[in-house]
Amino acid sequence: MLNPQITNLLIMLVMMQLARRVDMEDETNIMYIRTAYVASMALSWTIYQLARRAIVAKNDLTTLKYVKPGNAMKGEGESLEVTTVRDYDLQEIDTAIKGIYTGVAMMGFMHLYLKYTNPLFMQMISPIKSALEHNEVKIHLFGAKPIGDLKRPFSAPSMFGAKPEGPKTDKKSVEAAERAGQGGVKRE
Amino acid sequence: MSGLLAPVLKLSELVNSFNDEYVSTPYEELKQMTILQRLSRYNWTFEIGGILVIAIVFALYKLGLYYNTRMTDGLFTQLNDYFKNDQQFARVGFANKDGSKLQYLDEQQKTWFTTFATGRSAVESICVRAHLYGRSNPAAMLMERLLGTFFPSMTVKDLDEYCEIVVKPNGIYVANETAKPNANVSDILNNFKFVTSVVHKSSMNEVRRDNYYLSLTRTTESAKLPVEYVYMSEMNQLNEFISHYAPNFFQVLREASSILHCISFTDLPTEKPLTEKKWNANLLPRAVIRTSIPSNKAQFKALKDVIGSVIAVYDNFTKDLVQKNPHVFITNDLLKKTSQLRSQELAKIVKTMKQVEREMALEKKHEAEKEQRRLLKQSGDAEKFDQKKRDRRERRAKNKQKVRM
Repeated sequence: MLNPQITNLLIMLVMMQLARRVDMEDETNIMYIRTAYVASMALSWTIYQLARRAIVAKNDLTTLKYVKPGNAMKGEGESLEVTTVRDYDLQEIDTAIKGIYTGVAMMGFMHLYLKYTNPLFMQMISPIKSALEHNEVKIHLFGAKPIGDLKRPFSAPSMFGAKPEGPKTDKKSVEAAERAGQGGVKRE
Repeated sequence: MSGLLAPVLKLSELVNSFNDEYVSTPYEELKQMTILQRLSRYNWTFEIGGILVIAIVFALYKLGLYYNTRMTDGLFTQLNDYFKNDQQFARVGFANKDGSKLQYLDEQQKTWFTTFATGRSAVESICVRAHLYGRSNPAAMLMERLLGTFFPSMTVKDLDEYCEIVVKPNGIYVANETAKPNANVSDILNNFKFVTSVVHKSSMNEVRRDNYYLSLTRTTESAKLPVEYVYMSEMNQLNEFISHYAPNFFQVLREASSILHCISFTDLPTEKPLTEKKWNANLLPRAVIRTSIPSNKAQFKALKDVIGSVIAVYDNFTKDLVQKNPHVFITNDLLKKTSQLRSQELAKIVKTMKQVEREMALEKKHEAEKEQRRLLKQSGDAEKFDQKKRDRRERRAKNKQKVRM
């Protein structure tokens, strides 16, 4: 099975070629593209919402502890995350749903204000693909077991098969972070 | 850029067009009109719109204040009654200068509310603080919500609505109204130096992030606890402390699960101390209860029961200590271990502090050297200074060689 990021790239290339052959000035074509884009967004939103409902219904309160890697851009070090499977899943799915809203806002600006139709055409397939490939959707809608790549916390997949760098879950790291006394730091 | 500003320009043109007729009227004609005629010719649509907007903002402001006041009136009246009648506190609430009673204090456009109770066996004081949304400014509230949704790292700490109750022990146990209070207060209070809490699973991350003392604890689940909660304690032996002294504690937890975030018994500061001085200044035994704002009868009852449990813990634990019960839960062994953990933590803070001091001194030295070089350059003695430095380096290298030989 191909890496999702590579298939995304392939889809992008194919869509670029197709976009060349479609007359983006034709009002009828624009209407079809708009309809397809809205349908694609609505479908992916529905998929995420279904997964969200399944997560809430399952209400898995198992505690999940892991060490989140720091953000070098913000000058942050590693930090311990203590959450439940339910909250972790909801956080993941909400991030994906927020991504849809951001995408729609961006596309709305580019299409309605700047009058570009190409980006709308390019974004017709990938939202549905991303929704179907989302780990939470795999677990909660398709019944995949949370093992291997689907084991929480998820690691971001690497593009060229390198070992993905993700949260640490080993006992030693978690215990060290748990007693590190990083809380209560006054935020400026 | 002009494309981006087009709607603004259009709006400004539209507003200007309201008075095209008035503006195009020649000056001589306007001069001949009476004030009333001029006023009637002028199109007041924009001004009326402005006044309407101000009126709406004012109405929303008043409505927001009214809503917040109504919410807290209910909360604080019930809590103050509970403290006065059920928990037998001698003083509840505040008093004005004229002697009239004040149920609570409000601050910052009725977003922060406080009440206070004192004068009771085993408990020095209870301070209840509630934070509510700034409903009087809906535009700011909306912006904060939006910002919080899309940029969580940009949000401020106290954005949510919550109620925080701090209960401080006094180490005095009085069995009845005629009994004499014990004298060994500081000895008794020395037994409150530990951290143990019960935390709702939905708040684990936030409470650990916001409270220094909880970020030193281990999170453990227990079959005895309701499934929605975990223990966060310095040591696993401390986990059962609250349930040991508070009757029906698990039942209380179950009933409060819709509002309760955490109950903590601690003596360490909430804010991470960066110096030894701050560490020592902020050591204070207390219990902290954090909940959402209760909104119905069941939640009000649950909140009172939680506060009741914490007071019961202080009552029973202080009683055990004063009466020197051999089966007291916090043993000397446990206290030794917690004291050791505190020493280790303090040593870490001191080490970090010293490192920061060293780095600052080094930085200062570098800056002084830079400044000296700059001054020498200005006076033209830079070469002499460099030569001196080179000579010193060479001398040191020679000396090293001699030692090796």
